[in-house]
Amino acid sequence: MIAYLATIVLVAAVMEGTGYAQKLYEAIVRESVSAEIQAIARARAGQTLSPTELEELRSKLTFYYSVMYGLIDEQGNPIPPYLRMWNLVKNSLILNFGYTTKDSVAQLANRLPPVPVIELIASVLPRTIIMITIADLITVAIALKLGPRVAYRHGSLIDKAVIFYFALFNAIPLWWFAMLLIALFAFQLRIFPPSLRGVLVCINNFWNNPVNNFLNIVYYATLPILTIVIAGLGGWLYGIRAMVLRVIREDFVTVAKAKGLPEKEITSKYVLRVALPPVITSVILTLAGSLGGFIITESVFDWPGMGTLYYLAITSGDTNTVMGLFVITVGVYVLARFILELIYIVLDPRIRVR
Amino acid sequence: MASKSLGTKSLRVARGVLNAIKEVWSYGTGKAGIILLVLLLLISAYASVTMPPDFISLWESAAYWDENPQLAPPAWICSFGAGCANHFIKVKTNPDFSYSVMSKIYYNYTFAYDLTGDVFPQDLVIKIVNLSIPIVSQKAIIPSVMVTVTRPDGLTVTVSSYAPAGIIVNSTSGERIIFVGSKDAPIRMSIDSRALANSIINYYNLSIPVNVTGNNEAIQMLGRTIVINRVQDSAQRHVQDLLFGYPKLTVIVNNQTKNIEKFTIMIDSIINFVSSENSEEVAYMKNELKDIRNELYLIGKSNVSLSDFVQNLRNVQKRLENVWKLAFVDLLLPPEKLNELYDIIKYLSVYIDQLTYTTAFFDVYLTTFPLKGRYTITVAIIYDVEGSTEGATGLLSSPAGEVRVIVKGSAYGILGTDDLGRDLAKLLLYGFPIALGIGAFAAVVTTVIGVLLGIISGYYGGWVDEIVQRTADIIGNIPWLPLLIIMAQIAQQVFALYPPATKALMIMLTILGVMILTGWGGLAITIRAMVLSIKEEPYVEAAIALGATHRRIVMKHIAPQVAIYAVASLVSGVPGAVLTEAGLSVLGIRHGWPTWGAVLSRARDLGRYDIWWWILPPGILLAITSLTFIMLGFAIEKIVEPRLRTL
Repeated sequence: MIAYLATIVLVAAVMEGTGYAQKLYEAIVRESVSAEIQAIARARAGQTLSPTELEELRSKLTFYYSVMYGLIDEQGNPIPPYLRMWNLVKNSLILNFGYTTKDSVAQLANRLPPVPVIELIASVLPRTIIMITIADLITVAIALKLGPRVAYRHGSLIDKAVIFYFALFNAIPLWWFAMLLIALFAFQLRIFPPSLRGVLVCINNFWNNPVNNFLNIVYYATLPILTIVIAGLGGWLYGIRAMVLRVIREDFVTVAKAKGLPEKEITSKYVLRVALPPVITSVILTLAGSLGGFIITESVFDWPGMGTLYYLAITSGDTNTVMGLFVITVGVYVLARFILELIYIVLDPRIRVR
Repeated sequence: MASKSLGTKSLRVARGVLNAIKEVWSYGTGKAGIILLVLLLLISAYASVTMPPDFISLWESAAYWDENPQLAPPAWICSFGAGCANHFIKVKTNPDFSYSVMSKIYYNYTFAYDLTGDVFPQDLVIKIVNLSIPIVSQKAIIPSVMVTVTRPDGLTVTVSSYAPAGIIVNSTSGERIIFVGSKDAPIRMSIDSRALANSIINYYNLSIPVNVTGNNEAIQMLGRTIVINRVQDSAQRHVQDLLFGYPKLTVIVNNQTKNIEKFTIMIDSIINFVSSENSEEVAYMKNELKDIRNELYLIGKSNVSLSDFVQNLRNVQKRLENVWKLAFVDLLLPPEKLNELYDIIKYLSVYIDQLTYTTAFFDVYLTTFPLKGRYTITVAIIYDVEGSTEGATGLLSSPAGEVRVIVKGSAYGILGTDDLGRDLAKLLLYGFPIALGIGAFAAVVTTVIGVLLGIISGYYGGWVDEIVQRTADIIGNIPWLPLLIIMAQIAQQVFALYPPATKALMIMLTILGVMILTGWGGLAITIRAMVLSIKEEPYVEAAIALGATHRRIVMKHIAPQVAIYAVASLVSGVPGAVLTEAGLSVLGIRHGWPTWGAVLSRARDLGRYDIWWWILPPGILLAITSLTFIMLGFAIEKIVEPRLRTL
């Protein structure tokens, strides 16, 4: 809980305390003011504004926009960064994230600003679940199926292959592997589309033609899911193999073997039961982490998910959205750890006694 | 005494390190890792010695690479596929020969380029550095430069000519010579595509055959204009295809039956309207119209030259006009049908105009094929010394500092080029020391911080322990990639106005700083746990009982035990920083160093995943570098954790 609080304060301090957001906001205020003045000048073509009129208009507009972006209060006093920072922290803690005012960010939800940050995240999150969470689930399922078998055959050729596979994909960056697969499947073989932005149309109009749109989404999501599964499977196989191996060497497994129990029973009753807690820990933490999206990989695929939202929000200095994202992703992570504690109580009798 | 103990101490450390390396070497992965690491270090050393000093500020500017072809694949693929146009670059500082005719002195530089593959080179570039303008009795003798290309087919084309303008002689300064075109901004000879097109047309006698145009001179003129336009157009767009190729003109005559049919249908509608019973005149008119209709039909089916085609149409037009006159004077047709007939005549004349002024009758296609063989490129610098008696002979030994002739090939170097013509082999080579530097710096600092805080936290306990562990906990919870992007963005903003080299360094340090600050947590927690258990060992208790200082206990008993673990964490920490930097670059966080990620990032920005020689090598290098440290890590892990040896 303290960690959660500290994270929020830290991010707020970075965004506001350093003046990063302020600079971006000032630039936006300047831009909006000059755009509006130009529009007014165009509307009153022929009849030019006098310098004093122009100056008055400019200061009025600047005031209006500065209040809108929270740079000054209603009385015209500048709000210092540290005050804005604490406001941000307070609002974040009561889950009041406000609105996004950036075109590029709101566009991701196919809307025009202002869009409430919560709604923005709610419309983007399913896309990340479609791609990354599902990919992670598939990976975990395969690894859970194959991992123990690899562990039983440790030292064999398959085992060595798994270790090599793990080392290789530990070294290859996921986003580069994504580039390769795009080059291969989208440009060379032309099986999948090279840019995945098109998935937006299917998701936004999903209920118009659910069957067709579902198939389309599958078509769009297959390549990224394939990429993540191939790249991630090595690590999972290796990890589960290691956890199972550690248990296999315990004395009680040897005893079970000596008693002549069938291998299946040893696996399910003696090995998996003990190896389960650490496996569940990594599964749940991975799934919780996947909700935050893969920023770089999503950007390579041009997939409009949480990672892309993060990136757009950060680069456009959209403090509200950035805070919302941090609070929610870190929150989900902290929540997942809390749930894990509960699961442990169920799984591990030793903890229950304690 | 002191020096001796220092000597034995360092000897002991050296022996320990040697033993450790030996042990790492004894594992297969360790062997591979050490070999790769040595290779990486050697390449890095070579790269950091050979890197031009201002490379960091120059590598992103297109002007620096303007002598290279763009998006050219590596040269070694030439030996596989259809062959390539080889890349050619030659610099001459002295003319090959000079001679004078009348009052003109010629200095000739000749270059020979062999086109061996069935592919066009990308471009011909000619640059002149420091063109001399001598001043004789306060008058500048302005030279002219001519570039001619003699092609394998025997055609000699003057592709470019140039004479410096606006030279002002300052009579008081007493200069003997003025130079035009510095090394940084040389004279670039532009290729005259129009002259090239005309030479090609004349040499290959490109024209539309007489059996298509016929003997009407105006129509033959139309044919010539169309050909000239087509060739000049092609020369403007792909000058290299004409300069290094031979042309083939394809003329396709369009079938006119459809167009003629429209007229016959219109005439038919009038014919059907007229009933011949009315009078003899009407019957005559009807017959005449029928006759015209049939003639038109035959014209549509005929296969004659454009001249004859147009002539036939004109005859028809005349006959129709006569019919119209007859009908008009004798009131043989109601007004609306009369108008209809008039319209037909009008449309016919528009149609005839179309045929005589546009490409309605034939389509002209120009295709060019690479012309293999030797091209002789001659750059001639000519001085006209008429009127100046002195220095008429032997004016200069060399009229230009440098004459550079570049034929941009269709393939380049070991690794090809990107869209700016950047030599990818060079970029990737200079990426080696940067990648290793980034990785090593981040890993070393992270490990030092993690180990120090871990030992302090574990050994001293209390509130220090509490603070360190809480902080490490917080760090473990933060999604560090978004935070890294935010900090990099801030750094870009803050250092935007600094000179490029400083800016790049500061942004990079910011990125590394965030990586280090978010990276030490896990190590500190592990080291603390190790220290806690070591602290309880009997020999430490014994040491305390003997009155050993904290310093001695930490240095003698704790540090050596955590050292090997620290080394393992150091080694496995290197790839993380390298890959993170590359990922940030790909994401669009620019720092300005020629890293492998920066090379990839441009390909990503342009969406050119299809250019394999741009995408593959940087990623492979990243993977090899990481793999080196991962394999070393595997081996060291086995030493740290003997239980793993049997795995």
